[in-house]
Amino acid sequence: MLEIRDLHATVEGKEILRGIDLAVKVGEVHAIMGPNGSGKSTLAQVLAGHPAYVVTKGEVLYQGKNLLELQPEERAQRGIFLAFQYPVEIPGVSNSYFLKAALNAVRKAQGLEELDAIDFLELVKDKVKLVELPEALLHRPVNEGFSGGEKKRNEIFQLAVLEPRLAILDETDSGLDIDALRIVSQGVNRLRRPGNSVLVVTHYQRLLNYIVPDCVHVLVNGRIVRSGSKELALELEEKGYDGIADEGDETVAEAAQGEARVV
Amino acid sequence: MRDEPRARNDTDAVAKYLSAFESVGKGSWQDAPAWLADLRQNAIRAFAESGFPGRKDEEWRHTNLTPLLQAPFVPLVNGVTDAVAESQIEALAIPELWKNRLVFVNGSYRPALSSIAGQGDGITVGGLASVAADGQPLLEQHLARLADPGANPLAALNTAFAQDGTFVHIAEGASLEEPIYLLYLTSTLEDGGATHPRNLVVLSPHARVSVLEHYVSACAAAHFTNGVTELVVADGASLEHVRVQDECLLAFHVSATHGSLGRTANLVSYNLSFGARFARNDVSVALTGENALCTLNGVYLGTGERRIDNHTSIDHVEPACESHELYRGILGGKSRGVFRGRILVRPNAQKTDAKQTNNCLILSDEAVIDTMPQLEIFANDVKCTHGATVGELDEEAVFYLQARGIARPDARGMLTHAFASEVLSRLSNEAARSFLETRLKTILPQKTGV
Amino acid sequence: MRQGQDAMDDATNASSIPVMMDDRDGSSDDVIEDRVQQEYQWGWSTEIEADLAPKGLNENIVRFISEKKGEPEFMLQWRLKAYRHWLTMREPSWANVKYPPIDYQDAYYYAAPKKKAELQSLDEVDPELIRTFDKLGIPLEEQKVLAGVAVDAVFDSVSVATTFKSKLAEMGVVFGSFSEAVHNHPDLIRKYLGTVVPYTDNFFAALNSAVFSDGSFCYVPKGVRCPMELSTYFRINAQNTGQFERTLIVADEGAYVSYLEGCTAPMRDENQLHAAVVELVAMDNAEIKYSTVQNWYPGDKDGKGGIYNFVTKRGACRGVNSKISWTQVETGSAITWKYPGCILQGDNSVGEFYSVALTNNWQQADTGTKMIHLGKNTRSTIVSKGISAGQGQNTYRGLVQMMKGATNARNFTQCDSMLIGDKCGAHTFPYIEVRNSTAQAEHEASTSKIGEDQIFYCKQRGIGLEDAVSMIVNGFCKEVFRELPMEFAVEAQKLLGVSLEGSVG
Repeated sequence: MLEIRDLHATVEGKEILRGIDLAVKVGEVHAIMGPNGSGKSTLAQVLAGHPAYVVTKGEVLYQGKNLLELQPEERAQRGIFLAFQYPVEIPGVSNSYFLKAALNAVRKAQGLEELDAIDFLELVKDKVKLVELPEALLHRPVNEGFSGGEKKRNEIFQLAVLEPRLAILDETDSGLDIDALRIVSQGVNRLRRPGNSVLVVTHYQRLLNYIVPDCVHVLVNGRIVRSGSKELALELEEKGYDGIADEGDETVAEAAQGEARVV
Repeated sequence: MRDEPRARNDTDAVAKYLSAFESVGKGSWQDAPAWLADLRQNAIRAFAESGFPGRKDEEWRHTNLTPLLQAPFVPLVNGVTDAVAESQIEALAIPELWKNRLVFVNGSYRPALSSIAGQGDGITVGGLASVAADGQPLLEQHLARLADPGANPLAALNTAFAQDGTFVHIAEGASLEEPIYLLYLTSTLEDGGATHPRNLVVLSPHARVSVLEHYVSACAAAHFTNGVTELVVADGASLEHVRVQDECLLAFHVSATHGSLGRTANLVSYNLSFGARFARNDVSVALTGENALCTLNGVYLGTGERRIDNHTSIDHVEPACESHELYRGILGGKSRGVFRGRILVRPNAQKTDAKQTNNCLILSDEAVIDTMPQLEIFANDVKCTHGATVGELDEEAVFYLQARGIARPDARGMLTHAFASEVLSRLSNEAARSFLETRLKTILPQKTGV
Repeated sequence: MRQGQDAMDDATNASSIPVMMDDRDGSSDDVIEDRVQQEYQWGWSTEIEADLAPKGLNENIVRFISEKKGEPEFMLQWRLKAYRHWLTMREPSWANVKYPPIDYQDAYYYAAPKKKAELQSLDEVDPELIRTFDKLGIPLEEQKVLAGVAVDAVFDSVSVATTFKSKLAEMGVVFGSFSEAVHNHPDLIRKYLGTVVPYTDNFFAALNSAVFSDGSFCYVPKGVRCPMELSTYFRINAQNTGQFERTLIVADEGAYVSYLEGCTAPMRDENQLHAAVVELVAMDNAEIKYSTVQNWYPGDKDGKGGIYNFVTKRGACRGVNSKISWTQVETGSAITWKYPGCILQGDNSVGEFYSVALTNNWQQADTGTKMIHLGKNTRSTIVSKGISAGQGQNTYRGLVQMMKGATNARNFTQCDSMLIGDKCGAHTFPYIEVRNSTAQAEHEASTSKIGEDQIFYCKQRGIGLEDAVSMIVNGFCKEVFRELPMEFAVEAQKLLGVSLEGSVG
């Protein structure tokens, strides 16, 4: 599904990613964990094609093709979905109008028929329940005046409607209380299909109690320093990032081997 | 350009000023270097060409100069009335700032009454005329560069007639903790006297200082103060400039303050109009270096039949500069206020962050306010906002105070005071702040009706 | 007879400083003298059969227009007064727009399309004209009927078709071309013409008053709610034909009317002047809603050609509790100079102004409103959305005046500008003048560039750049669009998208 090789990226001239190698197979859920400033969100943004991030080295293959040469909307149309850490407000554009435009853009690119208003509403009604999003929010401007939790749920709701092949969740758990976390996770889990993959970017282990990963990677200072099974997340919880980072450079080599195993 | 004949009173007034220049203006500054004489000659020529600004000039459209033009104001030359006692002067001054002062009486510098602690050490403070006579090169370099006599006829008059003023230079990296206090006193028994104080403040890179200009009258006569101040703030320098105009209620007061800011320079300006029957203040700042920061604060109080016009202009020339502006006016009686605030963002000035606010309280049905905040934006990656409100006190707040047992007129008085005092509270110098707060209390009604 | 006029003059005089937007340029006696000398030089007047008056403007042309339209004497006299006054005026120069000087003697002031005879029905209209209307997407026929919209189409200054008049007539609503109204309802015209925008108002209004060819007139009698949206479509056709429409709408006590105006013009190389005047009068408890979508030819991408749109629009809320609401979407014209305003004379009257102005390529717009509060408890709301792209220059200019009698008057103004690209400009010039201590005015303005994070968010969801921009800009304008009648709102949104094409990327 996704193969990242020696990826380097900068923002405003500052190198954030310093050689990431990662492979995610079809049907797998991977978690990227790491301390603040380690480059987790940068990785998510680079995969989505944010213009502020410049890839200086390395390559990213998505479904076997070069992802980096695609425009953000082309990536989206091919099934990459980024649940934003800070969902953007678009005043005056209603949530449902926005989503219908997005869905039809994706469907059109995939050679599917565009949905009319009635079919769209039908589809939306089901999905709204999935994330327990108040229906009224559909008719409000995109994310405007939404609470933090509502914004995150709205992201997962969009995920549910767009049914991407690769979902990237960027700190979707941040700022959520336990109930919201459960709802969001349930939403994600119900969307897990054999044909889809998920990349969960998170600071805390707690989300992984709900969305159980096949593989956990620890990102420190722009590099993956360790990879392992879901137990690695628990170890992190116990030792903290410092504990892992202290293990030094040997772990980097170890991590690289881990990579090979994952692929 | 003007394409119609001038009004008669304008023509007469211009002629009177021109002849005053021949008889009085020319004569002063006899020791002045040639460049300065040329400057003055060019200024009077510019004035002769332009005449007084009129309603055709967009910048002056809302300012009715007629009362100023009806009677000519002749420069007060060396003490028409010189008999002001030192004690009398001190009584009008801000006591805590007295230790670091320059005093001007009727436009002339009084060295005997002045004293500046900490001279030397890269700090030069003195009377402009003597500094010019000494051949200070900064003067020639900066004087009348920011305040273009061709652009503002009143500034041209000042340039032509100025007898003296203040020169401040703070050398690179130098700073003065105590504010420099400049007292401009007019004391004349007869109507018709004019002073044209001229000030130049130059801060070399990373210099720091606070300057407070205080304009007062020790008389009740119709006099005219026409001041120009130029502020040159180099890279990384920081200047607080406070201008307090508290002249008698027969006075006419016109001022132009021009500033230019280099990279990361910081200017905080206060423009406080408490007195004079007619006041017009122009403040123009150009942000000519990246990351410069400019803050303009203003308070204007209108009572009786006073007129107070405030015109500000902030020119964002270079990228990533910030400007904040807050002007507040309180108008009672039959007073009339004008606020025009212009923010210009030039094509190169990306990442500009500009915010301008003008709030005005109207206390009587006969008071009038015209407010014109203006944005002119030619760069796209900017954040610019302006807001203006005109109206009454917040009734909720009045009610809240009443509910705590404060009588309605007192509650309104308190809130009116607070409205202006919010701006004063930003002043860095505690003594100046409390002195001005007290003045505010004296001028504003303690109780206001309705 | 001229009471209305006097009242209006008083109202205007009361604002001792008529400030900007009024033509204050003075007169030159020499010029007048010259023109007066020329008056009868050509010696032709009415015998001319041509449907196109010769180029240029003089008293004879004014007489010719009036004669051609078979106007009563009072109209001719009014036009002549306007013309003579115009001679004393100078073109205003305060607006934030630049254009080469206009030679007013190098334009035609009257042109009529060829016609066989008096037209009885749509069938008699030149099918070529109908086809042109169709091409422009102006549905004159069945779909319009079903939509319940009466159409009064002005083609080249002369009304060629009017529908639905009989249905409206049943309710006592007078709706049709201005020329017809001059013949059929001279009393109404005499009573209201020039009472809101006197010919002395400004240079372009004076010119319009002298030479206006036609336009629309609507009178809704007491207590009648006009059952359908009234609309007109304007179009400029003949080259070098200045367009001078004149619209007058009167809502009598308790009446309601919603009026739509839409413009579209074909490609033209030469600049064309359009100087329309619209006057609205709302009596006690009456309401008028006036919506415009303006899409005149904006010139090409190099700034060549395009319409000069110098329009005077003003409404008078004469009666208590009356309301006038202007909504405009201005995407066209090379230059737009227009300030639809409200004189809030009646106590508790309400004025509204909702505007979207877009300038792309080399377009310039200086537009806004005037809200003059005279009566007690009068309210005004101003919402202006300016979008600048390409090399476009967009200026909001608005006047809010609270006069002595405007006790407890309120104004709220929100002015937002969006910049797309780094070669355009957005400017905001509000003028707030308050002469009453109980009145309150509040003005807020912001300027920002189109949100890059918003564009990225849309793109991440699969939406392409142009669609994303169009969506964000339409969202930005939402507050204004929702004031438009449904069908117009849809049209307007499409227009924005089309007008912004090529502005990003």
